[in-house]
Amino acid sequence: MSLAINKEIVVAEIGLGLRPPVYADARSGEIPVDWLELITENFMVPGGQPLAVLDDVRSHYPVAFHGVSMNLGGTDPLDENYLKALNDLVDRFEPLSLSDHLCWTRHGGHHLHDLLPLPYAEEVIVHVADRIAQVQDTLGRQILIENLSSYAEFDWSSMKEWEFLIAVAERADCLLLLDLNNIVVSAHNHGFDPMTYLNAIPAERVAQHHLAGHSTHSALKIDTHDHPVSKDVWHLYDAARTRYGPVPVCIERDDNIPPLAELLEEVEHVRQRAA
Amino acid sequence: MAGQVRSLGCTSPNDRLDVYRNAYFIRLEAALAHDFPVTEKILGKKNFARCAADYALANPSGSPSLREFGHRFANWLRAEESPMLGDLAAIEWAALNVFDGPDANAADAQRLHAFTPEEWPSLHIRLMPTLTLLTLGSNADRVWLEKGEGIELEAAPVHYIAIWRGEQYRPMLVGVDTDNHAVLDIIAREPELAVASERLAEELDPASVPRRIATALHRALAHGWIASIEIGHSFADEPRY
Ligand SMILES: [Fe+2]
Repeated sequence: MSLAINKEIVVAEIGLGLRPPVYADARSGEIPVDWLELITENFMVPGGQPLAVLDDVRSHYPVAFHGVSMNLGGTDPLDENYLKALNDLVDRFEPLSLSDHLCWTRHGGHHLHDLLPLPYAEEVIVHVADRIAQVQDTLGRQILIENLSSYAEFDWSSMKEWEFLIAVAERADCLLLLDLNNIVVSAHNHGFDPMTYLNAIPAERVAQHHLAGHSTHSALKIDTHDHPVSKDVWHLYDAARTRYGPVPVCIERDDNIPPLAELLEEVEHVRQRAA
Repeated sequence: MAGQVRSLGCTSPNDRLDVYRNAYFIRLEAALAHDFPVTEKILGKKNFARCAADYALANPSGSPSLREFGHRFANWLRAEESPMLGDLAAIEWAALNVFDGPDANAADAQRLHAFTPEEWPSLHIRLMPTLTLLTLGSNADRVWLEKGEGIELEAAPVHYIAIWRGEQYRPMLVGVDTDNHAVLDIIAREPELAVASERLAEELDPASVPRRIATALHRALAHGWIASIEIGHSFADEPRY
């Protein structure tokens, strides 16, 4: 598989998370962004309003599919029904890109609806990369995997998170959705330098960025997506532009969602930095 | 688990795992609160949170989408809290199905005129996939219509309601009389009219069955509750929702 990504995405510079508060503006094409990112599972429904919304949105914007339940790192077998539902959505809405997280989300048939960190070890690289490759074979395209925010690390991890991420991406030949907020959050929680992470990642794998806000609870930073993008994250974004060149960026906001105008200020920040 | 978590700085492995533990319950409770807002209003936030946590412990999520997490909540409330709360949650679950359930066009209101009386026994009737018929033993329908504002949830004589998709995916709710409910409830399970008629004749005066069926079908067509009426149609060929 080559490192080609749908050409549309190269020009699709700035995206915004498609969430219910912005549905009306997105349906009428009035959000000044290049693409919209949706949580795939929210549209895995038989019909009704979500798919009607997406039909309208898609008539104005390219969309990126961002999943949270593929369970790429888990030990339960990959869910064939899930992949079938995803494939159906892909056929209907022709997304720019498909992404999910480098994590596990399910165990013993139970979904945890959370992004749980993996042990960073050689045998886990093989396990996850082979599952990503299996998904890519099933879907017939490369996917993007996203780095997590995490609050705990396994004691038996034998390498750094970024070493693990790179090894998985190379073995699976997948692309990376580098979430800069997640790097800042995890760097704080696990005591590493975000720049070390950034500098280690090969530019040719980086296909998208997420920018988001987080909150701080006692000594930990938590990836809550309920605040504006923080200063630390903007600084890291500047460094990322220098290191990787222009990469499509999505602003994620999932909670405490402000009026659209406020979200667009962050979009404008991205534009100014890109100019 | 805490034994496998690396210690670093002043946050203990247990405190680190607590972030995940807390988020798990918060996320599932939020999903239920989103899907059952009137039930939450009637129970109060604190009681609802307790129910949500107990429900989550008894019913781990089995679907990649949180949308499905509440699928047993009405039955769980009925069994563990009260049948009235079960009624209310069942209405909210039906409303959710209205919102994102399968799309289908309603059959023309005059559709029955296309068939002769002789053809009726061979008719197959498919109800709209987002229509839900419920049997209530409470005023949960009134409570839901009032969004839980200024009304107590209380027991009421047994009665029947239908919930279906209106304009703009809005849930509509109306009372259904005993006869119409009996007919539609059977048709929902036995789409072949000849079979449905036989079943009804086991419970009701057989001579009255054709009239009852005709009345119920005309009403259902007028409401847009019927997706199709066809002669001898094989449902094996239909897409399954
Ligand atoms: Fe992200």
